[in-house]
Amino acid sequence: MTAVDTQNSRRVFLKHTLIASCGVYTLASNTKVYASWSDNLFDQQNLAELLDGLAEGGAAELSEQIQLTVPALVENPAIVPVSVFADIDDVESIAILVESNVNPLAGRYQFGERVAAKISTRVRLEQDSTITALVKAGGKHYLNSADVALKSFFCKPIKQ
Amino acid sequence: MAKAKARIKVPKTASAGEIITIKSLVNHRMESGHRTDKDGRAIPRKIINKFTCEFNGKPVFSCDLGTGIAANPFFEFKARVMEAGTFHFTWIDDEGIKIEARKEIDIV
Repeated sequence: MTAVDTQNSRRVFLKHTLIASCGVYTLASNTKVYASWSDNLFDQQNLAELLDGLAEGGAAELSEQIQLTVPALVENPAIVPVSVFADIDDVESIAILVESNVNPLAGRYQFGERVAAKISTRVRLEQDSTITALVKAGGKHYLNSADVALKSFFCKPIKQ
Repeated sequence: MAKAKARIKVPKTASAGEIITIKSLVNHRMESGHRTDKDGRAIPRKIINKFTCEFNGKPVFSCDLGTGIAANPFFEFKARVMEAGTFHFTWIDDEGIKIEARKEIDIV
């Protein structure tokens, strides 16, 4: 699902703007120190705080330059292919978030030499979810999302 | 533990400056720590939390992984090759077990 329809993207944009502005407010109102990167983001269960932590206290901007390819409907939630291509210069890292998982942050990918910011991997879903890719490029953060639904007879992850 | 097997696809040859696609897959259960066994006890978390790829000692790609990555983690990424050399792949899991693999590439 590369293209996100306008209404949905506006909703996502508003949602993330709200989350990001809450983050900026929190940052301004207390002197919380943001660790640049640490394992505890993988343990983070609160999506808003996680996005805030990933964007290092700044605001992540919704970007159509990030192409997120996921299946709209999946049969096996234990193996969901995800592809991210960020058509942005100077991409440093890409983080993949499965928003409804207990620990939403699935993985964070870093590039040594900035050749082509394109990765494919497979994630695990616990239920229907929005998948978000958060890209750090040139010190700024961008994100884009896509929704994935499970086929109803596989409501729970199957044993693998 | 079953012996970890890594499967990697790197082209055997490339022209200098070419951007190649690398695919990697390793056998690992990626136990999330969220599941319980038949007696209701939590199964401890055991996942691969780090994967790195180096070319002639220089980092090409690396990633930190969480519990949301599927079993037998698969990655596909791009690299540019300027010279002949060796790709060195390393996976590290929660218990510190290292799985390593190497692939060579020639310039034509």
